[in-house]
Amino acid sequence: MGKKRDEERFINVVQAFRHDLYKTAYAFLKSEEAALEAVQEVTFRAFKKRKQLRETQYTKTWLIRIMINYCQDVLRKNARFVQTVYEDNDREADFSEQLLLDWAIQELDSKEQTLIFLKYFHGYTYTELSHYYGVAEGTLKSRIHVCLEKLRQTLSEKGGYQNGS
Amino acid sequence: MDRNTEKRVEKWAESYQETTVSDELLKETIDEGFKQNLKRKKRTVRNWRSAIAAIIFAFTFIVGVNTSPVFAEQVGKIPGFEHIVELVKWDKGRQAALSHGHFEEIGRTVSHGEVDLTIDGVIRDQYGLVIYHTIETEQPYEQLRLTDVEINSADGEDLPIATLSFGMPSQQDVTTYTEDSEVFFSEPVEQTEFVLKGKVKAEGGLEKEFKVSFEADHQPDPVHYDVNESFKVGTDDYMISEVMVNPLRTEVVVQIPDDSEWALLRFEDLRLLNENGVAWARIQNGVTGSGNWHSNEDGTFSVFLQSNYFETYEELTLALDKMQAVPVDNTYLELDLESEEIVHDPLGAFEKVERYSKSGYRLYLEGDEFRFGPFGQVYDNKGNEISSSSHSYSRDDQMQVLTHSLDDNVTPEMNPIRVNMVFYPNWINEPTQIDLN
Repeated sequence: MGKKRDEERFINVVQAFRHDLYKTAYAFLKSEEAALEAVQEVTFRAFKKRKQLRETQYTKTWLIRIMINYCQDVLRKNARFVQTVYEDNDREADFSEQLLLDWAIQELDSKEQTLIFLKYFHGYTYTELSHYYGVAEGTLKSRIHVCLEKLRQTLSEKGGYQNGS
Repeated sequence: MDRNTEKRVEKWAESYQETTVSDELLKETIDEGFKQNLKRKKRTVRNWRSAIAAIIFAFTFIVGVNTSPVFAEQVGKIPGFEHIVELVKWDKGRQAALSHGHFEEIGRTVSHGEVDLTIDGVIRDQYGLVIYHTIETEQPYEQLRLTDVEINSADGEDLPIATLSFGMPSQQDVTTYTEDSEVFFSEPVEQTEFVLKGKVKAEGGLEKEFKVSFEADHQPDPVHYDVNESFKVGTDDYMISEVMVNPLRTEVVVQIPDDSEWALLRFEDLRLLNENGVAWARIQNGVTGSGNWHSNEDGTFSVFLQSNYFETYEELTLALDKMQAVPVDNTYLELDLESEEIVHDPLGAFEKVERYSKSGYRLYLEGDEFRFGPFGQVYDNKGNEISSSSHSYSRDDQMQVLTHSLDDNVTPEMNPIRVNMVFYPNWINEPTQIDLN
């Protein structure tokens, strides 16, 4: 296949997942400007790394993982700023449920965050995830269970703010 | 399964599903991201390099190739070139550059009392300059050297200097001493007129400041290879993404995998082989180009080899066998200087730590092959940076000793300190060969 066609095809694929990428970025970075910047940077990075992608059926998952890695880097670099924001809100006991969950999910390690995003944010089924990760569904269920348990603990430590029954 | 938490997570995810961003804008953003690839490739700017300040190192590890007799014969006959032949004997690329007429003769001399400084000539490409200079004095001096070198553009614009290095002092009493200074840029430089500033110093207190302007405009185009071949580092697949051969040095761009488990700190023997399996370009002087595995933003770093730009070859193979690597997130030591205790050492390589002053300590290590300055940024236990100005390497009877002196005193409450490691004495053997053409 010609180089140009290869490039065009690649761009079309990224375009097809543009909303998934944007939403993921927005969930981490919380501003349209930062999320758009992330989409641009991730397109660039994904294009450079495109030969690392062995099976095209996983392109979306692969792109989302690059995006999550990028956002985690950005947040790490801005750690001081983000922390300040949370501390102020904390004092006023005015966390929205969304912000509280954001914070709890960001307390998970990088691989757990990715799993939560793929499962709940992007709606992958256990069967799909089990193919992608190459592990049994049962293993994935228990990994998700561990993530949810960690989230539960983090959320309850945050001061007993509970939603629903 | 904790349904309550799960429901909250599902609701949280739902809350992000509606976006207000314009679809058109999003499409354009992706196109722009793709165009960035072309733009950045054109500029070949490596982000990490602009991030590092000028790194100054002396040529202390001169190893490698001997001068070919034919080369010495040809070039050594040219008046004034005898010293230069001696200087390039470890670098075939430089020899080839000289043989192919890429040495630009300058011959500009500035006198300051009893001392003359001459810029003999320059080899340059878009990423760097090697400046050959000769100091002449009336009296013989030991430790004669050109030091505190600065290179500026004559038009007053800042040059994107990535590394700057200058030669070793003379080891005997001399009245004439030729050395070279090298400057490498983090992005291509168009300027052709430069000013070199520096101090000629020697034992006995000689110190004279010099400023010499010169012109160097010869800039052959680089040869570019798109590679995209992977190699193993522990459990990780790292990738060589491109190789760019410039006249002065060859740049090898390495791509770090996502979620890497191993931090690749250094290639021990990365080299380019020709069709006869002869190493043409290899890592120069034990300095791998100062990039380190996580110092970049786009997931790549660069390693620099001697250049094989002027060599003709039928086949080119990139080969490597041995690398320094440690598990990711583990590239640091934690030291309690108060109790002289190593609190964290990723693979337990260091035997002990000993404090020798309020601001300095020594690390002891078995074996005899780790001759690096491994120390990166230092932090106290609250995350405040502690700067450090020097380190050295020595041996006692049984052990290797790495001495590190910090700029501030370390008080008891600052312990344990965290010392990021740029190098670490752990090696992985993974013989790999990648054909480039």
